[in-house]
Amino acid sequence: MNAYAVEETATHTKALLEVRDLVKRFGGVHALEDASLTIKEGESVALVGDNGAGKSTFVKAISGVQPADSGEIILRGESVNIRSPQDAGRLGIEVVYQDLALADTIDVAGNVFLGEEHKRTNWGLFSIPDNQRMTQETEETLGRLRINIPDPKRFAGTLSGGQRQAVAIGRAIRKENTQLLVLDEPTAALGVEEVRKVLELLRNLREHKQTMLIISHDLEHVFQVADRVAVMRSGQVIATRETANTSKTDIVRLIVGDL
Amino acid sequence: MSQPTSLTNTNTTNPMKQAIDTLRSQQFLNTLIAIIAMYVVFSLITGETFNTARNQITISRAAAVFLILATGQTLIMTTGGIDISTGSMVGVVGALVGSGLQTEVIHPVLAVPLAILIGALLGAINGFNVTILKVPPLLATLGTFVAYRGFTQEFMGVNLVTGLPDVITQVGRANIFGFPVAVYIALFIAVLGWFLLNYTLFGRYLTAIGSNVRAAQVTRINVRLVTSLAYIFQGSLAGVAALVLMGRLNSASAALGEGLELIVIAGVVLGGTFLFGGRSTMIGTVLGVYLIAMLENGLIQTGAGFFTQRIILGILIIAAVAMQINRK
Repeated sequence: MNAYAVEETATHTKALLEVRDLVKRFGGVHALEDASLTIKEGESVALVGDNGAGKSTFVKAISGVQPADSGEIILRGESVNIRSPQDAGRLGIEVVYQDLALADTIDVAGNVFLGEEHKRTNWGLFSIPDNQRMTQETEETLGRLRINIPDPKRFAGTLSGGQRQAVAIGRAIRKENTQLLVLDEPTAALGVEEVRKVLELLRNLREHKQTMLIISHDLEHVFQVADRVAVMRSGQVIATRETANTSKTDIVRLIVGDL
Repeated sequence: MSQPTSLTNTNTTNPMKQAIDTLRSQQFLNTLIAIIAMYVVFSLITGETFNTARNQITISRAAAVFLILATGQTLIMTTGGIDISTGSMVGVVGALVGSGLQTEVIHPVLAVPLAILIGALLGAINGFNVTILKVPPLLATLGTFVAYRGFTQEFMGVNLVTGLPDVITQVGRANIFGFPVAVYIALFIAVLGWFLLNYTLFGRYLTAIGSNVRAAQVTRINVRLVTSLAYIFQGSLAGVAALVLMGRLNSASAALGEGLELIVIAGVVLGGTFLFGGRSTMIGTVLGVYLIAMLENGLIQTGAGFFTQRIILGILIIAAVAMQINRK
């Protein structure tokens, strides 16, 4: 274990996800070098680090987009093999991507259920979708998140950046089996007011004990929404700190290697 | 607990303004206005000949073949793709099925399923090139546009298939309740396309792919299968169009279907389907191809030659696309 890695155990809940010694190499570049991280159930963990520290590679490894060369991923005490985003989805790991991946010319409800629609007929690809049920459930899901989208029948393309982020999050946590919500730079490319709303939404999710891994390089935001901060440097998680017991200055020093 | 996160836009829109916006966003209304305007203009210029019931039926017969192909093209363009090879596929089916019918190798009853099957195979090749080989649709189908036509010319040489069985010629020429059989076939196919696009998961996935292919990929949509099916559908419709066209002409040559692709693409774009995918309208497609059929007919009646028609068609395509881009 790395000398810097200090596991703090203020809460005594079970580990939802344990990532052990992930290694990923691209030719001579060591993108991940024995990266390990534990996320407890109901915990909100922020993953921070400089550009090239390995944050994206780490997320790609646990979401199956780019599986690691070696290492172990343990979900609820069981070792799992994640080789594709579909594997990750089946195991309940849902990623909200930075580009949000919404279809602009499909309505909000259609986006929330895209690829997993309720159907009125069972004709495979040619089934008739049950739009009414999906609209209703979308309203319920967004209502639960206290998100107010004017009309679930509106095209996603007509929504603001913050609304789009909310729809993307709504899609991820709608699924009953979602255990870990991974958010890739949720506040990037948003206006000040929109950022405030998205942070409010994330705080709301945290209050509801939704387990989250938030990738961000904005420490201001991280301290508002995370219980714990994991710092990556040179492909390793070099330290984790509880936000209540640390400062931004300390985290910055960890990021740049001054501590 | 925090206050509800209101992401509502603050400006309220009144229902009247909303209704007008909705109407204005329906581009097919512009097409409808263009059709009416053109009808009036050609009626005034040509006097009696254009504005007759008989001539309108001639127009609808020509539009029928365009519409059959434009239905498939609409589905493909919904994904953000395009099929340039449409006319060449018509050529291949015409050559193979036409020759088979003439030499009585193929029973007339078998001509329909066979034409659809051959067309579907040609479409599947396009689908394979686009989704598996990942060749951009414009170039993938430009390749088959040349290759399929080359095959037709190689196969047919200077031969002309004539004397087709009655069943086939009736499809192209007969009327039911005063309207050509071809028009009924075309409308049936257009309604099928409209249903697929607006009321099935298939249509929704076509839209998702055209709107944001990444969105489709990260969900559980089988992007390759859905995209390929659009090309296969278009291929099978080329088979149907080949039969209708052969029936109407009572012949097939190496040039069967030449130039149809441009008319079809122009019709779809003029109708309001977005060239870059994600947004489509079957009603618009029906009107778009009718507009072009009417334009061709009117131009012929005013004495404009084939080449003048081509010039105008080319300008129309550019104008329609330019309008779409500027709207975007």
